[in-house]
Amino acid sequence: MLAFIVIYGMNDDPFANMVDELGGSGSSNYNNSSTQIKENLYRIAGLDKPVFYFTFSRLSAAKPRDLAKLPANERKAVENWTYRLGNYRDALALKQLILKSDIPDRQILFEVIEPELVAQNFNYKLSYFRYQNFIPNLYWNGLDNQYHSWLINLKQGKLGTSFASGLPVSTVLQGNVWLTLIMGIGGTILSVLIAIPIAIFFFLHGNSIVAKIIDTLLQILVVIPSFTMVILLIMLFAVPGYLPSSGLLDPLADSINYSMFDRVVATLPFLILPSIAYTYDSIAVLSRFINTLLHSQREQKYYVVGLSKGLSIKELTYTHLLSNALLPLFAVLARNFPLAFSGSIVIETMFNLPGMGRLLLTSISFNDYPVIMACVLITAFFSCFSYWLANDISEYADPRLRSQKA
Amino acid sequence: MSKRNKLPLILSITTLGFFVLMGLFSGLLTGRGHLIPYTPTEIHLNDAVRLKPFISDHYLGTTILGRDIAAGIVTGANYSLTIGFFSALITLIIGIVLGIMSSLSWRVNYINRRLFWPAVVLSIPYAVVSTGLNTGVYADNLLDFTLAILSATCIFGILIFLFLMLGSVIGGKKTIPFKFNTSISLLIILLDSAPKLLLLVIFIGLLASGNIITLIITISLLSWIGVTRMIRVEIERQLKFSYADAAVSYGISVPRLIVKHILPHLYPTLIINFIYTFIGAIVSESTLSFLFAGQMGDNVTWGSIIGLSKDYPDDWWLLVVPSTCLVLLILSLFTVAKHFSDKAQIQNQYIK
Repeated sequence: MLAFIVIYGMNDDPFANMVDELGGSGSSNYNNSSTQIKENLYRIAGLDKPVFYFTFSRLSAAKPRDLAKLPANERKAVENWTYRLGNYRDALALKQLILKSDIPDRQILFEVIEPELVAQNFNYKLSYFRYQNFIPNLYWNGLDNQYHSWLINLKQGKLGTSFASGLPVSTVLQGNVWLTLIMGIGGTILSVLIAIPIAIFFFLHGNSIVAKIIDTLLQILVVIPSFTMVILLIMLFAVPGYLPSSGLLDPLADSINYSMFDRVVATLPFLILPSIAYTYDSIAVLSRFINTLLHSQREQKYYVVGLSKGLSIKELTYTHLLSNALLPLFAVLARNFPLAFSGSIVIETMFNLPGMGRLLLTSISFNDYPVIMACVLITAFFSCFSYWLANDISEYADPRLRSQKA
Repeated sequence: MSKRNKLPLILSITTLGFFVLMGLFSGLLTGRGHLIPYTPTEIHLNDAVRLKPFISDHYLGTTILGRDIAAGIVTGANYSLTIGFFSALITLIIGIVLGIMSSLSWRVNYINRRLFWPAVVLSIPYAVVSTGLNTGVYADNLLDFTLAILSATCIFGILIFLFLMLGSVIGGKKTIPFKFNTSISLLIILLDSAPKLLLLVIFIGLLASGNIITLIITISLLSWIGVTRMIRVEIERQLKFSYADAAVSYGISVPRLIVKHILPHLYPTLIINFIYTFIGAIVSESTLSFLFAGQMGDNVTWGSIIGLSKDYPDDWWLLVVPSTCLVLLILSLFTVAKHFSDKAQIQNQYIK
């Protein structure tokens, strides 16, 4: 079942992106180059093939199979005329007439939107068949499609070549994935480490004024969107020059021959603001969640037994309540882990960190599909992995769940 | 039970009403001769660049291009609330329909084999027509029309046929399983494998359009999962109560039971879901217009005003004014949602 989830989880997203590829390719960065170069580039990138194994549309009923092999201007003209006339035979015939004719600048005729005008020009009699347009049809494209080639490449361990830089996608990703992963895992651990003391404080001194003030503060923190928080942090700490806000290492320090340890120490101040931005809202959510978990343990019998044995509430909380209450926390953490990837988009872009989120945003602006797809693939892989981990950890930690399943 | 403090609820409803009125009458508030004498996209390069708030008739300051922020806030409220409301509405409708369908599956579990031949009969004309189209059979217009109508109705036939064939191949039984439940949960797994915001950023970034309808549809197609799951769980919980058993023993059909008797019980849950989707949509929209400020058309939204402040960190009002609006709006929505969830909790104590 889990393998199923993993495979399907991966298959979905590239397909969704592939659909976008069709819409995006019109506005891609090849617009300025001449038609011939554009055609070649498309062919090299494999963008001239059909997207998926089958097409489901109302136009495809009347669309010839090898339309994709035509040059772009002819393809567009034939598609448009097919759509307007309702049958592709007339559109193809018009195309042939134009190509055979000896008009000097005949390529201009492909720009004509109304097929009737072209037909008049050649004295061609059109036969309308418009109702074809309203019939949905399933069209089999064969194995020679973009998705299939992407899948075959993936099987061989190739993620393709980036359009923007010309490097293999795996090279582009190598430097970027680790930072996002480390920030995600580190941020999660950090927020738990901060949230547990706050939750215990709430549990023990819930009615004190300090607890109420912290509670209100956390309530407001939950509501602040992360992009607002990021700019607020930059305005408060980075603009006056208290903390660095951009990059991962001082360019000056980078040139000096530092040892590994010195390098890590030099990086730390650069990570302070991003880690605050990563953790502020999860601290707020988690501390309240742990607090409710602790409260739910109060109704258990062992709590009453412990009290009647003469243990203080403090002792009970630290020794017994906490270990029992934290069991559901693992599942929640593992389920929330994929959110680190979407959170990283804003944070890495704003703090100029070389991570996957920033890479994703730049490749979106370049329409760099292989990189985008690889990013989504990695995210899907890690989210499936963390869902699996969520099940597994809670089963490992709590034998009751194992016995329930068996 | 202690009496609850009503003050936060009243305050948040007032704030909400304020923003809704602002959004509704954004056309009447901005422009020459109105309360805010500027439109949000008006450029004043000479006289009013980077003005601070409260020092001129640009009440909340201006941007680097001299655009009035107060006008931008008002139209941004319109934009945010429209997107939030409609995407929450569409999400809720999708969620209710799919939730009911997936909870019905235990009842509509098997399709009778008698449907097999009707399915075949229905699917033959479609097959004929589509092959006819592909080989290019030409005919008179009237005939085409009837053929088209026939085949359009028969598309359902071929779908049923495919379902039947698949079921009989897999199960090898006389009756064929027809489970919405599994197909919907498969769809949920597919969409759940990557975070919503990531997919949204990719889609909107590649489309690069600030078109309000595109945004609404994209957001609602990506956020129905939670609502569907919640409604399915709730309906299954309600079906275990004795009133559902009693209704079934009276001979009521299960779909009727769900629509007539269970859905009214769920209305606090539905409203909470509506509000949370509303919040999610507003946050996603402003995150998008923050990330792609300037690329998503000429719309002035709260997110795009905040997005300007990343280039001009000295202009604090660019951040503070729209952020305050955003935080106030979300906070008040949260408070209203909390009110409803308390209500639902009280209600659940009495249902048996």
